Amino acid sequence: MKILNVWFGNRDEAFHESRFSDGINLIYSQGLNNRGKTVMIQSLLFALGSKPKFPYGFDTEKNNYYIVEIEENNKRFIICRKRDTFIVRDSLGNINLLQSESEFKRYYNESIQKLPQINKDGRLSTVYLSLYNQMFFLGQDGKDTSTLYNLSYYNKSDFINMFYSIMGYSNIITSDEITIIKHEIDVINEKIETLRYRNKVLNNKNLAASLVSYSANKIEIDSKLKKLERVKEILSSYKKERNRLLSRKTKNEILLDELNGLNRTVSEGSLYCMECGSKHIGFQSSKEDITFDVSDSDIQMQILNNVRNRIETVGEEIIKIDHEIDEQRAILTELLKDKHVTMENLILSKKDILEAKPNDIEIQELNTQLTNLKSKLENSKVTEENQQKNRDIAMKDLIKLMNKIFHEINYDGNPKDVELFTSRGEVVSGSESAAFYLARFYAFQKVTNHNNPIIIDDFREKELSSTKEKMAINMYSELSNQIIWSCTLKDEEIHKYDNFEHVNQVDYTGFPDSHLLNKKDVIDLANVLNSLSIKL
Amino acid sequence: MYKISATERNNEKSADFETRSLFHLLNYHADSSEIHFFVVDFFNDVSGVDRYSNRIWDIQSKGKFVTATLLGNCLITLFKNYVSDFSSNFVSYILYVESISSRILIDKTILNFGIENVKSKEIKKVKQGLLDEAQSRTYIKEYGLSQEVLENKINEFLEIVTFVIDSKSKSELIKDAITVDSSIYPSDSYLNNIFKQIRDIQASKKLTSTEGEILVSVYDFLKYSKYINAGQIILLITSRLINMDLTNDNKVPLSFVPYVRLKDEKEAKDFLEECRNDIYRMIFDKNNVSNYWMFFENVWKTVKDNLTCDIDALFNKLNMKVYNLVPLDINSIKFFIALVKDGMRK
Repeated sequence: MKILNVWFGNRDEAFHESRFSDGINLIYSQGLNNRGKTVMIQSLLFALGSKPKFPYGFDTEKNNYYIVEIEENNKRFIICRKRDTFIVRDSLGNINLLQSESEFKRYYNESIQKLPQINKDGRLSTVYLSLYNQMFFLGQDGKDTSTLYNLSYYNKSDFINMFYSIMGYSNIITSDEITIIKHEIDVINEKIETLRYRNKVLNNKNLAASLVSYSANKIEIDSKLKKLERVKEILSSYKKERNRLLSRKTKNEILLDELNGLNRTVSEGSLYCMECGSKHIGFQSSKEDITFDVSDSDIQMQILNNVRNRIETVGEEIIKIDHEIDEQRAILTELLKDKHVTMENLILSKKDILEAKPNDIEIQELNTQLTNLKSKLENSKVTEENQQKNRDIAMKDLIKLMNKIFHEINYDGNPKDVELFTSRGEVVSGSESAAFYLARFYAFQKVTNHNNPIIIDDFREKELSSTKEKMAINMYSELSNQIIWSCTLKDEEIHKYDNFEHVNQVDYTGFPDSHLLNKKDVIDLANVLNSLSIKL
Repeated sequence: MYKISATERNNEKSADFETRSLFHLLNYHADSSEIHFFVVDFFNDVSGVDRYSNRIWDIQSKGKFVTATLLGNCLITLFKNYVSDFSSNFVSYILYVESISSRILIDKTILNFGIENVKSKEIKKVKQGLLDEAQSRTYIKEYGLSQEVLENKINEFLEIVTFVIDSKSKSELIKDAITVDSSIYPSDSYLNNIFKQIRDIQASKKLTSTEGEILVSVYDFLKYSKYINAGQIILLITSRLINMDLTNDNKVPLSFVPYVRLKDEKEAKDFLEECRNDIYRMIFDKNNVSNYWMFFENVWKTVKDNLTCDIDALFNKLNMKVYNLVPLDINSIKFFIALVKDGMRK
């Protein structure tokens, strides 16, 4: 995959970057920061489905369009994203509307390039682009070598499983996943406990007794309540979205039944010859008498698949929203731990804060989930050892190559070997973490042989020395992948890349401070949006 | 008077070739626009007949490699028509074969030629092959032609017969039959499947036996349901391709974009899905078959005749009686019009 163009902005101001080349692109600004390198790179990745991490204050209204033109397998695609809606124009000029990250990843998987599948939330699912892109992209402030960059839905073991899946060793449950399942069981048990407690409280008739403690700590409680209110708002917007999705799911489930029903020809008896009993009876019509079927089995299969796909996609969306809801609930629980904010007080002050009704159905649902997880845990104990061996070998190869490169670049540093992720709390210096990621991305490409561009914002982490930098550039110039790296050059480093062969320099020095968007590029933006049938 | 003879049932490969020969008439013959009916297993394997049933384009297919003598043998059913009472109606005699031995040909590269492309010493074998065949067939014997007259007739006949060598893949035959935008071409395997559907329809026409029946005029063929309308084949293929395109669940037909723009992002998807669902229902409804075809034909013709009109204008031109027969509402009808219009964009 190659990046050809990036556009972003709105009807008032926009930016268009078209200076990419196939090989190594170094995006730099001289001496000054805040020239928009990060904004451009984040925009590019946002359009490709990553979770955004724009500099503070950029596009707070979320009204910008983010567009990227890519080339994959000699086909060009223009992908436009606004919030969670994607519009993709394929090489034949077809326009595809994708309403969510789930729909986008499915389209991407079917039409752009195959995405790996991993076990997540108890089922095998195609990874979201936010995880997929991690194998070739690192943002500016993501130099923590112990975790993934800017992700909450996925964790480290998902990334590792993605690697296994790319190598062709997916679809088994690892010990990591068993830990996750166990953890999920704990979480659910805890939830059930909380709910039971809440039901108990709500069934308690003697709420009045708590009034005293409420009056005593009113100010503190009220400020807490404001925070709670905010969480509640977020929660309710998620719940609204969840309901919308649920109704969409149901609608499609009904459609599926309906289509299956329609496809039956009414068969109320048949004609036969009264004399000989034969069913071969001709009917001669005075008119032209061929009627073809309305559709054939290929079309019907395709349609039924579509509807099933929609149901699955929405199901996935719901899981994702549930995850967000869980996160918000965790915040809520944290807030509720305050000793002054007792359940009784809350109910007194704001009865509806938790839609506070005794809720046995939810407990029931959780119990079902619990049973499922437990049976999964049982099944998972039967793992295929060979597959595990393959995975281990692949991981060993990856780590070996990664360390080789890491020590080559970091020649004057600690000779200790590193893992795919460093352990939490381990201190890694700036130049070491730069070398770490350069080694990891390089090894990942070599082992998986992927063709994606390798994009690192601030790849020198401000500390990588010129010698190490040169080494890295030479190493990467052997890869056929497109490279997009950014850095800020010190004043004395001016023209430093002039002597590098194969390096395409993209200078951001001349752009105004913290304001990359401009009037001039609005025309470009309008043109590309027009090709996507969007009127700016 | 014309007596029907030499009708046949056959295996899959010959059935394929009969359908290939039908597509030859439909797609590539100089007079293809004038051919209105394809009469199956009647005058010959396939015969094109014009709208008024005055003219017949006769085609015999052979899914075989042929040498000179065999070539002569294969011409027999065409020759039968040449000597029949309807001979003045036959405007073209075509032998459609898988391949011809290159040794007997002068120019081996051309795929469509007359007897002049056969080497002269081989022409003798062709004549002999046809003569032997003619003398052995009862339906020729019945004419009671003397050897000399028969030979003369054969000489005259060979001057006008055309040989066509099969050279297209099934998917090309399907694509060449219709005018649609190349962006909606489905996979070759699906195109092959459509070919098969047409072949099966054609083969089913052979189930009615007409051997020995006597016709007074050419149009008597209409009494037997052994013909397919050229327009129906084109309609079938177009409809299949457009409906297959519809199954790209996320695609927004370009001409439909103005109707979606008005909506807010989240609603847009639901709106499009509703439109698509109505059409899904329509094309799943096996009990509403003829209404669907009437509707599709109406939309297709309206779009074809008014390529520059926008969706609203096209909608206004549709026949209201026809769209009342299908389970669509105004939005899904417009969606469908857009789908057809974009499919025919070229």
